[in-house]
Amino acid sequence: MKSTFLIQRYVPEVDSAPHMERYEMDLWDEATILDGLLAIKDQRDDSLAFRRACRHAICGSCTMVVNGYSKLVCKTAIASEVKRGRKELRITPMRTMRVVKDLVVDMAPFWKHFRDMEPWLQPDPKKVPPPNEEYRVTPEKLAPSRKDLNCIQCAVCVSDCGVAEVDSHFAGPMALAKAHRFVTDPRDSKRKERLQALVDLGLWDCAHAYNCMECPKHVDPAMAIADLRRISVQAGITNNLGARHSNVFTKSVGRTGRLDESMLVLQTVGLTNIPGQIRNGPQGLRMLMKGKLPLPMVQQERVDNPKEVRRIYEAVASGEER
Amino acid sequence: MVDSGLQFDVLVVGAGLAGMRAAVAAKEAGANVAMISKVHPMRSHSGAAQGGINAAVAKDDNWENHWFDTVKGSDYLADQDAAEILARRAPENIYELEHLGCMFSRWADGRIATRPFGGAGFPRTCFVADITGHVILQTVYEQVLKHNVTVFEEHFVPALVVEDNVCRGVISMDLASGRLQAIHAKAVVFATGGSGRVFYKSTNSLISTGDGVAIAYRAGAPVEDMEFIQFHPTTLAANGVLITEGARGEGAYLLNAAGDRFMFKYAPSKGELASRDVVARAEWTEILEGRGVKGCVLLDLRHLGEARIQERLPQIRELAIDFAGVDPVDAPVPIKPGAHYTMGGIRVNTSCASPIQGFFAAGECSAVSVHGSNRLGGNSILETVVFGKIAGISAAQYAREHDYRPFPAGAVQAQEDRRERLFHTKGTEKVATLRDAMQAVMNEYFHIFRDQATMTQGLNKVKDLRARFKNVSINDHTMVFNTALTEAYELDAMLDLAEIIATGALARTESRGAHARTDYKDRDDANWLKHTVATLGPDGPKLSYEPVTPGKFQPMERVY
Amino acid sequence: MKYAYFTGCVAKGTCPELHHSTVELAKVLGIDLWEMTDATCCGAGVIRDENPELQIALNARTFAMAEASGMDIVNICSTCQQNLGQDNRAMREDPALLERTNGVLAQSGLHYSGKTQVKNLLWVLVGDYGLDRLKEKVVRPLTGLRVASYYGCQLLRPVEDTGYDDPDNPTSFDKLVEALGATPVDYAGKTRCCGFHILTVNEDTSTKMAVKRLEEAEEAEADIMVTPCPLCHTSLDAYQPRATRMQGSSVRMPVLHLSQLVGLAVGLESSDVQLNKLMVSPQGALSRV
Repeated sequence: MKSTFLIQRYVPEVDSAPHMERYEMDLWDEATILDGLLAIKDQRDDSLAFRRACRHAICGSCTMVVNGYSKLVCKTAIASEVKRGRKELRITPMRTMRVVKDLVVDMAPFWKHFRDMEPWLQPDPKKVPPPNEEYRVTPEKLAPSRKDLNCIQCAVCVSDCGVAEVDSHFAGPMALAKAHRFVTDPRDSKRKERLQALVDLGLWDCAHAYNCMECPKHVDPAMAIADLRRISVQAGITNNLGARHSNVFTKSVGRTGRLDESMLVLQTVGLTNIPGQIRNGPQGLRMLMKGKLPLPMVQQERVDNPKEVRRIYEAVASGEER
Repeated sequence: MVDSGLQFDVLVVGAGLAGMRAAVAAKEAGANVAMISKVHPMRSHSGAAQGGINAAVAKDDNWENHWFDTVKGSDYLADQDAAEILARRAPENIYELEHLGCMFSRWADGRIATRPFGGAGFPRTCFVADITGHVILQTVYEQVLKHNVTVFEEHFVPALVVEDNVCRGVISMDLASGRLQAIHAKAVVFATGGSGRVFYKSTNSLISTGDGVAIAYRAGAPVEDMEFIQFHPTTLAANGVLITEGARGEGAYLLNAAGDRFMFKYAPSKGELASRDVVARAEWTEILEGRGVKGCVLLDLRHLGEARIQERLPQIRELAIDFAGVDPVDAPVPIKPGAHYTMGGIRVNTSCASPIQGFFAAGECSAVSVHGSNRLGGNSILETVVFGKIAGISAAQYAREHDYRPFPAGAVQAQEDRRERLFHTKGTEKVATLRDAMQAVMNEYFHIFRDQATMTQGLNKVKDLRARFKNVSINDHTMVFNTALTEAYELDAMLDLAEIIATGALARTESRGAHARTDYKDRDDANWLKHTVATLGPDGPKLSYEPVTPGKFQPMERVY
Repeated sequence: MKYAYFTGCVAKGTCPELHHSTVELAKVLGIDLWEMTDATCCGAGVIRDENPELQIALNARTFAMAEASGMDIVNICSTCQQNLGQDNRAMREDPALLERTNGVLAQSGLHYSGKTQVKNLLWVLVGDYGLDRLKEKVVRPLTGLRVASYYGCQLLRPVEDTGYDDPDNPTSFDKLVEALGATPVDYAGKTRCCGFHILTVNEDTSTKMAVKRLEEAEEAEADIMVTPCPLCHTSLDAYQPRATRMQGSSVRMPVLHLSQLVGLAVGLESSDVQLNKLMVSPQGALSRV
């Protein structure tokens, strides 16, 4: 099967800027993109630099952007891209990280986010079993963290994350999923401290883009982040903008069945936060003049039966096991 | 080149399970430790281990049975004192891993679960679904972070520095800059992993090129039992990727073209769960005698049902779909034996010490020997944690009792020169061509069934390839992340290993464990109950032999 | 063609032009919309962060009402699509959850059996209505208009919840643009996030994301962007002056709602689709058509 590889090359000692190089290859039908890169290296240009090791999606080395989407190239068949109607395989390095050479990027910031989670078990010393015994943990208790274990730190999620792309402070989906693994580990004793630390590490900065749900190992980081938020709220870690926003939103819908958008902005900023309200003034005025600013509460849309909505809120609250 | 002035009490080369375990143990013992790894620690091949880690944790089990199974599995070539340590210390190491956070799969009552594995008299393989190596690797890496162990990540080690039988440190090359530097150490631990890439279609990662074994050999360290290469019974035909023994542990069948569970012909008692060499030979015989399906036999998991497969074997299900185009829930998976594990390695004693002073080794790159001529599934990850810890403690102790020794003059310059030669040889050979040729030769001439004529031819071909390396030229002469250079170093190492494997295999005129000869079909304890030891000679590997440490298990006929 | 029309909150609040143009468009196309005035907010993933079962219960109530009416749901917001879609799937895949939820609904006399389908207006136009039929309705072909179709993210991912186009290579929106006579433009940001969901929590990051999307469309020489989501629209249009000033960008890119673009092509006037409510006027771009 013939295919065209368009690969971003950059050799710092030689090139002033990255540039694309074209390689026409003829490989077997089931060949993966990694097979193609290895063949290019062997047959055309031994200087092509990329990370790779296991070839079967367990080591996490080979993440690259393929036609705009981050992938593990060892498990991406060339045929799958061709089937999508892509005539060329455009291969560029992972996003959010500085390019070192060709497709190799500097992953130090990525590993730093990992380290920021204090990703080791921190048990209560009084509860550690004797050396010849394990903690008794039932399969049910292990279930919440099971998907987090799949993570191979490949960075596909971070490379595609819209927030990570512009905000280097954001811990990112991989690190937050790792945090989730420890927050839900029944043997860990630092749940509250971890959750508190996550507020500053970006727990509420996830924008629900769900790019990370394309995780090649089915970690589903976006769901781990949502779960961390739920657990944080239940643990009372609510003195932050994100939790406040979430709380105000939920209460607003509980009153009328619909979201009072204007009130949401006012209350999230804080009704007594005068500087904050003033900062939002110009935008509010702009929207008001376009007829796009319903007055809070007064012009708020209501569902036909708000009482039914309130009943649901009460029923769910009272039926809660968690 | 600059002597960086870096010095450490203990320097661990290789940051997989054994390396990281050694580094943490050495640090906890008070040593100033650093690790060097040619990849980020989490990319190490330990992460690819799937099925589990053996330990007699179950109430009805007994570590002495594990000890026996290991010795029998080794076809009596394991040093019985080493195997005893492995089996006796296994349970405490499992609990230690669990206390560190490893999320082992559990029974309903919350205890660590176990599954059956090949060659074991009792189900004693602890596991995490089929991603056991990956999860244990995560756990140990977490400890590396917690203990703040210094890691020189993406540094390649082209040489171990030894003089007067004393190890002085290593030369390392920082991939990010190409800078070659000397790193002094009182004690060096090699945990550099296996050598599967010497063969064609291996389960191994592309980084498993046996560099550590080769450079130790070049520095004068004896290397043991390299002719024993484990061909794992269940690998995918397309790319050699591993399908865990755990599948058979969960009850999967091996079928030939006629749909027969042929294993019971070869292993009447254990069937599919016989020892790996027995299964590999059985499969290959079926294939050679025309009862295979397109060069494979079939691994049938259908009767396990989707729920169990998804719970216990989710990774291999996905691997079969991605790389064999088959969903094990609906259809049998074609598999064949593939090069998987190197039983041999750097010769060390039960404290992981090599005859070279201050030089230690642990994990797949070492031969203690716990595996002898064949390894049981589940004993490899176990070896990394048990002997990784021992190596770290031994190295730390050695460092406490010894001082730094200077590098011989010109040690670093020699590596500079070597790199320049690779850059500027106007040679006609390419790394890729020689590598492919070597892998093909090893697969054809040193496969599951071996004989004199074939191996003699094979050894000649290997020697020829070894000689051709001096004409290798590479096109990339840049300093930053030069992977053409590192691949040339790796090929250089693999050619040495190919020669050692070939020489040892040809010389051993018996069949034992994974070394099966059609011209010497029986095990010959009278003449061959001994380890092959290879040291670097003027014309290649020089062989000598060392006795096997005996124990309470008398060598018996080995049947499953 | 009849649908239970789920407006969502924003189309009845800060994006009234979206609701207005949708209703007018439906009239021209002959699609009957029964506005679900008793349906609540979809939760937007925000209520899910507080309490997943509460969000599911609220959406189950909406599904039950639609199911009772015998109509599938059409929505006009990507976030609504994702949240309704995910909660619908959760109940279908977990009978115990569905039973628990029906327990909550029972007191309102409602019951959901899992049959309702949820479709964004884009899917309805491309799939149910059909592009051939749509082409026939086009009286003002948008010839020469270079359009950056902004799929955004929640319309496409996870694909199990949204169920329509390939998240890695979506084509439906571009095909619709072609059917209207316009020229779809390929650009880097077409399936990347606008940042709306963190607008109140982290405005700097959010506006950086929005500006990037606008600049990517501009780099591809698009005349306008079009979006099927009022949240994306707010981020990209209503906040465009503020965002560009905050991030020091000079990009200027008109952004239309899907219903506005289609509406213009099928003969509606700019007043029918309330173009005047857009913060960044598209008049210049449209006058060239």
